Amino acid sequence: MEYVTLFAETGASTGSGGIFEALGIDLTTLVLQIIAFLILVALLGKFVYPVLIKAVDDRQKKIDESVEAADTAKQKAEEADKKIEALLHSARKEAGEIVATAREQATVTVDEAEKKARQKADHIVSEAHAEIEKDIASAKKQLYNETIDLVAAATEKVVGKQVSATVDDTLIKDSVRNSA
Amino acid sequence: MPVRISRRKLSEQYVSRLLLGVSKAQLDNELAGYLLEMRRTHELRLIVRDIEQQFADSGIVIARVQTAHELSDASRQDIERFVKDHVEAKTVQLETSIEPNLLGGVKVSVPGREYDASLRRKLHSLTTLKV
Repeated sequence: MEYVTLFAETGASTGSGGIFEALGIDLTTLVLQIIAFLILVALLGKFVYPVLIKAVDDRQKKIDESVEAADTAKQKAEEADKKIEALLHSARKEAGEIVATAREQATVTVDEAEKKARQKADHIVSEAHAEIEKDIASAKKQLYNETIDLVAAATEKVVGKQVSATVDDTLIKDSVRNSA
Repeated sequence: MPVRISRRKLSEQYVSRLLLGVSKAQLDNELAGYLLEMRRTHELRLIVRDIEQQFADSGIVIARVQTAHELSDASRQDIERFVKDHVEAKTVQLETSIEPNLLGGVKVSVPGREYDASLRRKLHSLTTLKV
């Protein structure tokens, strides 16, 4: 640094600049500073900037990868959502069909059950009617037979008391003469 | 040991001898003795039926008449006429009996036939209408 300052001072002592002097700028110092600056810039560009740029690039790359991964994930999520939506739609449709089929089957089953129940009820009613008719016929038959028995018994009692020898004689004559 | 005689022969002999004038009591005794000796008393009812049939074939009909009351002479004559008309008999002999269970009317039985005009029969006919 001392050499630089010395050089600047030498340059200034030669008396080459007017405006710089007017502005208070030491041209030598300026040149040295520029050179120093350029050296600094070169050093930074050689040793510091590449590391920083690499770090930034890596970071950017990671960010880009993250963004890309996020986009991919988002895309996959959207695709998954679409698939889920499609599956849900399909499942809803299938569920609807199943429910409709089940309802239809249930309706058919209920109809068949009603039909069977109605047939069974009709059969039971028919059998009951037949049984009633049978009972009525049996009761009529029994009543008829009992009436005949009663009539025969009553007739026997009445006839046994009422038919005298005279009446019996007339009865015999009539029956024999009518059969002759 | 007496020879076994068929029922038909027995009845024919009984009727022919009765018609020849042999007394009925004697014939009955002989027949009873024969059946006892031959141990054929169980055939008595059948032999009597055969004898009646023999009489019927000879024009003599024995009619068994059952009534609930005593028969009058007029009814008896009517029954004799009725039997003669129906079995073409020369002579009809009535064997009457009282059967109160008949209630009324008359029941006449001749060999091979029966005419039942009793009230009991009519009542029985009524009961046969039962179903």
